[in-house]
Amino acid sequence: MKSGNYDRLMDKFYAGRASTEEISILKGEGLLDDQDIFYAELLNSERGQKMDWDFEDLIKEVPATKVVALPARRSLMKRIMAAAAVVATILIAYIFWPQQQKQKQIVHVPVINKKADSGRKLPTTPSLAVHGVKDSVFLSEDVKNPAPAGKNYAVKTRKESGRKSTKDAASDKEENTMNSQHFMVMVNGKPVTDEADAIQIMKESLSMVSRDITNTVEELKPMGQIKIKL
Amino acid sequence: MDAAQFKAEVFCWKDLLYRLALRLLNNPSEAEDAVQHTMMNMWQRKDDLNKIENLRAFVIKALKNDCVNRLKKEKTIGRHHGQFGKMQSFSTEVSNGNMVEIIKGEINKLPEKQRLIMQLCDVEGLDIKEIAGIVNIDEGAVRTNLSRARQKVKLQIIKLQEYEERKL
Repeated sequence: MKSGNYDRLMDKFYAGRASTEEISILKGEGLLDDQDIFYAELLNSERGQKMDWDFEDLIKEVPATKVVALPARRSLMKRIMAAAAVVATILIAYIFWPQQQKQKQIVHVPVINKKADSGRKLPTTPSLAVHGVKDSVFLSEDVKNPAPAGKNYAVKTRKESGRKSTKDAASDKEENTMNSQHFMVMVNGKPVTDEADAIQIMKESLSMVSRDITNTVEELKPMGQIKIKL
Repeated sequence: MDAAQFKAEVFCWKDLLYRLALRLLNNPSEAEDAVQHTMMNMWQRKDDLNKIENLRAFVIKALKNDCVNRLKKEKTIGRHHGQFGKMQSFSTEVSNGNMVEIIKGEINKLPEKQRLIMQLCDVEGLDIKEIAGIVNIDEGAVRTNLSRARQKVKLQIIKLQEYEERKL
């Protein structure tokens, strides 16, 4: 007989299901001792243990611990409430989300080196009211922006990579010096080519500005006399 | 699953479960609690039980898990060892002719897995394959654990018998 069969016979013996023949086979093979028989008897006594508990006792105990399901109507109401809550949440998110996004929006301006030349057209109306300074002889006429010079200038808008080539730098410098040499002051679109006249006009206009500032300061002096009592 | 079917297919294993719980917990009242708790759980899940192939193995597994949780939670192991610590000396017990109780005590001292396997195989007569499924180990390991458990018990019996003979 194979050893696996003896194992099975031994299992049967311990489980108390072995027949007398099987027990005698095991004894004959020397697999059973007095200790095994004692142990088998002990196991047999174990099998006699029973629990004093009936099925009716179980049924009695069940209602106390049973999970009571909600009535169908209540559960329907709960589902409706849950759905409403979800819809409300989505609506609130839909309304407030764009506002939040706007607040958070950051405008990224590309780094561009803009170079505006004198050829750029400026608004024809002066930014300062010229009529208020009529005492000036030279500025009694409307001041106009200088018209583009003989050359046709274009606004250069380009992205410059950090460094500039020496060639480009030299050409820019030359261009600037040429512009400054053409004319110094323009009155009513007419350039004042004479240097002495230009200096005179500049002096007069600066003195006019300084006079206006002095007047303003004078008018503001009384403010220093105001005393505030707390 | 209706009540009659539950009684015939699940509740019928209550004595087996009780013996197993008693073996694992070594406390009759706690063993009863564990069985009742397992049965209650099964009753509450009775509609799902039809899908299970081997109900006996399923119920035994559920009880085993319950017992293991109890042992962990309430530290029954400590109490259990304390209780049987008194039985370390054979002299007093054997003199009373209480050899069976001593052997039972020795069985209860076996490691949990060996106890469980021994109980299921030797007491309840489950086959090795089914036990392997319950304990979640392969059949070879079940066989090894079983033979070790038997060997230990046998050694204890030999020791006791020798003691008795010497005494006489």
